Amino acid sequence: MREYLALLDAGSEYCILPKVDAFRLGYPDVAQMDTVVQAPSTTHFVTHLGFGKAPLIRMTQVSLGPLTFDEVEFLAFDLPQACGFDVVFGRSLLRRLRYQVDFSRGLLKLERGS
Amino acid sequence: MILMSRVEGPEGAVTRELSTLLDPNFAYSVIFSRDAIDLGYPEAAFRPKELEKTHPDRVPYVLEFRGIERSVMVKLAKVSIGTLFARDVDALIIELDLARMIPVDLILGRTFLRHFKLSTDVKAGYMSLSASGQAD
Repeated sequence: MREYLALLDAGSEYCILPKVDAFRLGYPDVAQMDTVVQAPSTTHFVTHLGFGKAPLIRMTQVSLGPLTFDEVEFLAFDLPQACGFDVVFGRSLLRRLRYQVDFSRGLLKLERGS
Repeated sequence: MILMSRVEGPEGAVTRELSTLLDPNFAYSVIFSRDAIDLGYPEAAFRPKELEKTHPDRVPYVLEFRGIERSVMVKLAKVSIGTLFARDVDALIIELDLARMIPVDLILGRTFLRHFKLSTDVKAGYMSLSASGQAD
């Protein structure tokens, strides 16, 4: 179990976490670097840099405060270090949530989705 | 989320409707230089190095995907979406060679959204923008 600083991004289809963290959490397949025999569930996607591919894993459990979610899909993909956050929560998690951001008061309210 | 917004220049002399992306993850709003000049912001034609000498506070550093960059910032007099509006919205100027490759003319980041409350239900495909302080 590990604790991360996350970015909520409804513009991202998947949740993302770095490969090394996925490996440490117990997903050894993500370390498979062979370009011929790719890691299981290798997924292709498009980013601002062009096309990319990364292994897709199912995270056993993700907790946000008192809310817990099982079997959340994450891409094991290295994010730029300058980002300032560890993981991205994309729509593979956000579609289970309903959230409200009050920008003027700096408040984020999360609740289980419909 | 892409929608149409209305942007007014200084004194409301020129108004334009622009295809707009709402982006809560970007600290600033962004507008193309040609649109800003049309709206009545001649400083949008300056290069950051030029404006820096007289108005260093109007040329902030920005961390984005290409790295750390500097851009000229203008204050959009009024930006409206439907009946909601915000005044004096800070927006960075961007100049692209292939502007039409991007499906939006304006990005409204947190300099606009800080006036509002945004509710999202991804599964239901529902997003709602309301005035801050207004009941849910």
